[in-house]
Amino acid sequence: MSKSPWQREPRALRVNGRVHTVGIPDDTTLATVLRDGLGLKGLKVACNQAACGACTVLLDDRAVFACHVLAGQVGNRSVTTVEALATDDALHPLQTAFVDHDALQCGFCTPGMLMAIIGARNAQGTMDREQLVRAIGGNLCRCGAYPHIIDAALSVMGGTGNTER
Amino acid sequence: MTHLDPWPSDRALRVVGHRAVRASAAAKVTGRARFASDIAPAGMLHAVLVRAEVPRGRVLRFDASRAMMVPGVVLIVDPFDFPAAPGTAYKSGPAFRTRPVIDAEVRFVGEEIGAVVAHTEAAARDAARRVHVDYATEPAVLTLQDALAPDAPRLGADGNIVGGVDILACGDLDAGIAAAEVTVEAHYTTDAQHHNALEPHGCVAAWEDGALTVWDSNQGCHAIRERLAVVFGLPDERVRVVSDYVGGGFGSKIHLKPYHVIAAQLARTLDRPVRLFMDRREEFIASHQRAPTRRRIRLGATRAGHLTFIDQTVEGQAGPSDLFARNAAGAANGLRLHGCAHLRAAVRRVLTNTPPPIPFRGPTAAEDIFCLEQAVDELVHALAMDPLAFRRRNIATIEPFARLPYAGNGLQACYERGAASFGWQWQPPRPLGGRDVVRGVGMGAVAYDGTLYEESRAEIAVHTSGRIEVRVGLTEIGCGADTIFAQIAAEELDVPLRLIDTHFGDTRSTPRSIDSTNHSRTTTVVGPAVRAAAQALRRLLLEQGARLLQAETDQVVQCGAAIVQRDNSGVAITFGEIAATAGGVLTASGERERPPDGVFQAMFGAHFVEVEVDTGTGRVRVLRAVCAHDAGRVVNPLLAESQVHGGFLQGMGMALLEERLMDPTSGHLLNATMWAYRTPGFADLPSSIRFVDGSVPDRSNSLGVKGLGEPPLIAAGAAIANAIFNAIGVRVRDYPITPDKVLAALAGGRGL
Repeated sequence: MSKSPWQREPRALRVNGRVHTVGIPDDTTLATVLRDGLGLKGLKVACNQAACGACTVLLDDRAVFACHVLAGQVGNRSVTTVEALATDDALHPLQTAFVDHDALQCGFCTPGMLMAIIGARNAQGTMDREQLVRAIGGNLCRCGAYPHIIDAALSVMGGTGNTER
Repeated sequence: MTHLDPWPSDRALRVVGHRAVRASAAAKVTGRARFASDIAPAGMLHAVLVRAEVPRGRVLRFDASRAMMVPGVVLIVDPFDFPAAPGTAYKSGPAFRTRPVIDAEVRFVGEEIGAVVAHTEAAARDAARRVHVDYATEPAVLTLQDALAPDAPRLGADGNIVGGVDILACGDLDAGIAAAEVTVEAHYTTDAQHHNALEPHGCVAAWEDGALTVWDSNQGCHAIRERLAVVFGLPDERVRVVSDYVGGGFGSKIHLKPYHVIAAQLARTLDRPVRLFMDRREEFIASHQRAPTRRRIRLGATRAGHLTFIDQTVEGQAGPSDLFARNAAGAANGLRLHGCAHLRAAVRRVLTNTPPPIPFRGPTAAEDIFCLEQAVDELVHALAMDPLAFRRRNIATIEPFARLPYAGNGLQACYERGAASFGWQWQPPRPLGGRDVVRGVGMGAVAYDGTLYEESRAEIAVHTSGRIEVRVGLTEIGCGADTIFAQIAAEELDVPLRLIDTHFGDTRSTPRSIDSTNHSRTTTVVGPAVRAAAQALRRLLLEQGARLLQAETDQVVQCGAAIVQRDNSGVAITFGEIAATAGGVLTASGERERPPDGVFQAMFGAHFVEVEVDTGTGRVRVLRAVCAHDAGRVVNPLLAESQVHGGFLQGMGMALLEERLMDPTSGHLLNATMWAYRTPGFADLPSSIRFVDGSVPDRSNSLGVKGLGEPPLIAAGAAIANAIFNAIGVRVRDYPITPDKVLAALAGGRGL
């Protein structure tokens, strides 16, 4: 008898430094597992079409769209979500920069935007404006916070090149 | 009601006017902010709507037998057995209007004809796809052209024009035409624009003991609550709407929509919490949009550059009924933008089998001014004048329809400060050589009617902890109300901003401050109520403080968050201690003051843009923009920049990118995805979008404020289009100005 997709096999998932055992079908998206299974609601599912980046998380240290990664593809790689950025007493420097530069409006794209910038930085090191814009071009913000997002991201790159205001 | 003297406009205030960081920013960057789509009460079920696949007709048969076999399905309702709410109807729009939320009549592709409830959203979506529906179809009209054809199917009892021709006029048009020495006339169109807020429409509904709670992604928690109460025949206090954080609205989330009623009704039927959210395709096809419009504009001026008349005919798509027709088209804001004595517009709102238009940031005004300001530029070109010089010559002194002076008109200030910041140096377009990348500059202005008065209430409470809580009954959609009301309260209370929290977005714990966050009016309407509440609280703290210090009120004075004796004895009592003696919390409320008589409130702005056009590919890039706006008084320049960036970019999207592709026979939207419907992204950004404060004091309220939410979108389009003309010497009069249209215009070579 073929296996029903509803059969749930326990699976280990490394998320934010902890190993969780989750019972989920292999064809469940990582976004669904993180949000509905583990209650990590920071990442958002805005398009479910890999077209907006609101669900961006880190897989090992690279940014991925969690709506287009299946739970079964994660293996023993570690997942990092926005919830892991701040410690109890301090925001991550990029979070602080977002607050200071008002790099958000409604805030729905923000968790994905932060993870996309951190993933790009992990992959490429310090970036200038042009490199940054290319690296995170797949993340959309309908409120149009882009200019302040660029200011915030560049301010923590340690480089120059803040956009003219 | 207390009287509040206006804040001084000639010197800086202590908190208002400063770049305070956004109050909700920390919650948003940490992922702690809870949006309605994050809410999951225990036992929650998931609903998905079944949507019509034809543009016009009736559902004959709704076969759910295959859908019922999907594991996890709990309930499927069809258009013949939808469990009716007590009224089977809901209220929406400006008047009390009713229509069923799910029924068998189909008026556009995507209309709600059924619902599936399952244990997971994936199962509900799977089942909804397996519902087989047979329709009796009828001929549909999908475009303005279709609808106005002589043999068009009639969608309304009186044909396809809703409520006849709407005439806006003042002066004597014939006299204006006779006085004109130069006249131009052209046709323009604007396309549908989809809001595409990142958080889709949707809610979680739950009943307990006959009371309804809805966690909803809306723009007005109090409006949604009141309308749900009407639908379900409940007193307002039996309905609670919670909208702590909302992932964007832009006008789309003002109204009660079918999903609200369906989710609440399904939750009641099943006695379980029900979650009902749109997916991205539904967001495009059935969450409504800005109306497509077309217009003919004729206008004239003297050789010296004085406008003598503007005459327009305007048509906009009203969707299948008159319910949202007023969002289909308008012309008043364009006509009041420049000083001109003789004005006329004939507006037709036309029925079509397309989703109804709902407000989108500057509804009807953006479509209007995108076109009118291009027509003005065409006239200026015919006069061989500098567009800035022409506009300076035509500043309005009164509002033409109400015939009242403006409570503040900063248009001239926007022209001067914006032009100076941009380094405006205009030259007429030059002839093109072969393929080239050419640059041009353009400008466009905006006038937008404000809100002189609306009832509003706000509360401010001091707690034993010393924290001060501003309570405003509104939904914060990212505009910054969370921050600026704290600034207003801190200013009036004379305490540090860091002591203040703003509470909003929950009808149970806030007074009704506004029905919904729209029409750039939240600051204008609610701000003075917050200031009045702060003044009342301050008086209360002085009275209570004096009593507790066993002194007369004139013997004490406020010092920071404490009341101290004037005699320098050091005897003092903190606000927190005063609250402790009042049972832990001391609350005051304030109401919005009445406005002065005999003034008209409007927002103004002027944009200056430089573009680059590749004449080989037709691609347009906006290189830089200066956006000068008159907001009366800018409460927070940092957040104002954010508003202006967002407004300009959405206007740029409407001007260059955002295009609805609808199949002309089936009525299906062909680009209902976020990659095929292009909204501006990082790659489209100008190198700078600079906000310039062109505010002049506005005397219509005690804060001297007016709005800033919508004008930056409205002014963007024509400034970009005019810069394109300045670069290539030919006009593209159909928005969005996509590369194919630029190439076609270049090939036609008309215009110069």
